[in-house]
Amino acid sequence: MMLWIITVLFGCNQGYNNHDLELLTSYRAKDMCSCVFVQEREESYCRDWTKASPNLATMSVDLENKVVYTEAMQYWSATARYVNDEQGCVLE
Amino acid sequence: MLILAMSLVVANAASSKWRGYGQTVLATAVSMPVTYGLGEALTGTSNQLVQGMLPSVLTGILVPSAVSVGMSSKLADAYGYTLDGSRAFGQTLGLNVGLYAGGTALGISTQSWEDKLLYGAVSALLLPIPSWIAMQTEKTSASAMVIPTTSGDWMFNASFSHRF
Repeated sequence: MMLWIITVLFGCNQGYNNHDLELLTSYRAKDMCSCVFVQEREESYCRDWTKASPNLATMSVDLENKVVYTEAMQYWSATARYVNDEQGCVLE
Repeated sequence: MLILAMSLVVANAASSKWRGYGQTVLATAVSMPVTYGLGEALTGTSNQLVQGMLPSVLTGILVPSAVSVGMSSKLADAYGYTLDGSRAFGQTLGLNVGLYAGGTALGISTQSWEDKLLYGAVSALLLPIPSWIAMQTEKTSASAMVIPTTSGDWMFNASFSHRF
């Protein structure tokens, strides 16, 4: 019983693991990739469509290899790659 | 002859400054992988935006600046220069804030080896500049002159001064 309480309390203290910038970069890479390579929208439209607040993520789109890289404050980054029509884009 | 003696003293001072600058660049370059490692290790301190971001960002700004100014200060003593450490640290910190902001705006990421190398090299080259520009005066100077006289003799004039 005591062990269970300690485990629950320790688990509660752990909190939510993902930092905001980790979520921001991953979200933007995945949605930008889907927007450009699945929906086949214009890059400028997709840049506006995936803009999140705070707007801290910088982004580069590799049209040839169908990859989107995002970065925030140098230490957080994400990469999304278009796989195929069936799977769409996935985060690496 | 006087001009030659003066230029030798100036050249010697300039050469020691360049050598000191080079050593500081090397020390700052060595500190960059440590900064990246520490910054990355601190990314998980909090899931909140500001609380989680500050430790890594402050590490990226403070560590290279402190190493650069610390090394410059140590070498300034070794080479006989004087350095106002707090002023140099303020200028270096300001420069590094600009470099960090510029690097972030350009999309520099610590996940990429090319980015790390480029950003590390630029930081190592630029950060010691404020400290080495601030070192203007030497504590010690020495000069020697051999001057021919009209009587056919040679006059030797040597001087040494040290400022406390």
